[in-house]
Amino acid sequence: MTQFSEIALLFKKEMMLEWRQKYALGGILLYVTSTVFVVYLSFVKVLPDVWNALFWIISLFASINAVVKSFVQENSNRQLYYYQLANPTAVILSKIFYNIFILLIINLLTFIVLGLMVGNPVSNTPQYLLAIVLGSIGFSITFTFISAIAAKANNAATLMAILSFPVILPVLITLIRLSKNALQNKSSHWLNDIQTLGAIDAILIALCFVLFPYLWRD
Amino acid sequence: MKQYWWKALSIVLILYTIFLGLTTPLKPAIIDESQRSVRVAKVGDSLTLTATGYNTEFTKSKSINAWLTIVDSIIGKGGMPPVYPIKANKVSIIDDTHLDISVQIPQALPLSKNLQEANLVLETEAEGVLLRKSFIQIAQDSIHSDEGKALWSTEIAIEPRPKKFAFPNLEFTRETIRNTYFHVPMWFVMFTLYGLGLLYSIKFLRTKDLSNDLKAVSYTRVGSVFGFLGLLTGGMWANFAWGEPFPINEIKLLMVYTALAIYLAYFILRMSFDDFERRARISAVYSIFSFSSLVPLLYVIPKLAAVSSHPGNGGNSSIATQDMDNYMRLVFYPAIIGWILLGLWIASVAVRTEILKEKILSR
Repeated sequence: MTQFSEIALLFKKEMMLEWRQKYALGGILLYVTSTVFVVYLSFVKVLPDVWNALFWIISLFASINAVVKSFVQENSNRQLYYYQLANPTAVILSKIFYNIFILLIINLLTFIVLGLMVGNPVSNTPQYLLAIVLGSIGFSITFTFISAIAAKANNAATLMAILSFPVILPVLITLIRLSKNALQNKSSHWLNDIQTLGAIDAILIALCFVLFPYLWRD
Repeated sequence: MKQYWWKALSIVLILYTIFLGLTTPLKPAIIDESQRSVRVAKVGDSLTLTATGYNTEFTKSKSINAWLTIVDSIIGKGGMPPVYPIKANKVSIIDDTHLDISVQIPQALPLSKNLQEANLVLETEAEGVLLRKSFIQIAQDSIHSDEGKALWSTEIAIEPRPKKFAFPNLEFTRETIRNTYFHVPMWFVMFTLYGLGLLYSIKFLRTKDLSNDLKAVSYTRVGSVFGFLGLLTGGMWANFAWGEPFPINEIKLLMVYTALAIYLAYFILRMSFDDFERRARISAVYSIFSFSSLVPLLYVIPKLAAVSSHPGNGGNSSIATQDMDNYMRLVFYPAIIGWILLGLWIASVAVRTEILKEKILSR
């Protein structure tokens, strides 16, 4: 079996698991809509900068909640079974791809719901959507790897937050700058930010590739 | 005793740094007592200006020459902007740090501007040439640049003098420039120790020898201490140079917070394991991960950023003639070596303590 078909099969397995127990995804979608509803209730008018901050805060917490279960969801015996059948790099890559897919859904939904309920101040929508796509990729790679580390420790959920917030900060700073540009329709520096995001993602995925084989062995 | 030579060397170099770094005087300069409220004069005025010196010895000079100079913003012949000086009529020495300069400003400016900044140039016997940029502003109602060019001279006769051993005297740093020998080496030490932590983490993953894990955690711990010292010395410096100790919009500072938080998370991660082997393996993986994010955090993102107050970041030039000269390098390079050796010494003690602790626990 080639690496690619392994990843495809594992990706399908993740989708099937999600489809069978819809409560996880449903819970996160409910979280997003209820948070947006709270924002809608508590603000009379949202300034563009505040809107941007709220969007990324909602997106960040929804993403962490969505990814944290990646390695906790299935018990260690079943994971051992997967590692015997598949390459560890295929396991982590399939999880990363699956999480990119889920986070894209969550973030786009947040964008749409926030836009409908609170109003949409974005003037350059394609650039904002690009920020969302790049953000989903960055969040997914970082959180998947961190959740693999945290899953090995005693209290995974707490550790997940402690480990992932400082690591995600550079991605988040660049994302906020990029999306602020999209809000005000400024074209300055945005290619630079995309390059930075791409470089961070490349470093992270290379690290996952090298380090994950040392993580899963128990 | 032979194997301890580097410890002795670290002490010698740090004492050298402290002695030379703190006792060497700054270069004489003309300072601004009025805190950047530049005086505005009119063309044709006859004025008496007071210049305040810093580390100057005006009374040692028999006579002092002074010029007001205007520098054109357009680059002229030979790639240099033309300079228009006007010599002072009389310079009276009040004391070592105060001068009264009487000057007659011509009827017109040599440039096509209504308001122009003029620099002060002093030539003294004791200090050589002193320059104060934007000393006063000169205003005029109507523009007569050709007339002005005839009124202002174009030549300024200054002889260079041998330099004294002194540090640069910059407006934003003044005496705090000595912090270069303490603030900057802290980051070098932190980087070296984190690097060694990374090395032993990799070694652990290859050999599964638990002593490598103990070394890795000790080096990382001491490295973090030096990181916090760097933050602290930076805060003291920023308090003088930028007006507040930890400005929120400084990108490098933000990245340092992030990097230190990533390494603090390393220690929290280590606390949440019961099994030694597992703790060592997972924290080694995390250590490699965190070191790989350290380099882009501290050296790539601040360089790409649009604005930063640190030299060498956000489009600032790094080691220019302005903030680092050969006299400073004479102290700066030994300081780096000395602090790194001291860091290694402290870390080696930490490693030995950690190994002893482990021995007692496993008895």
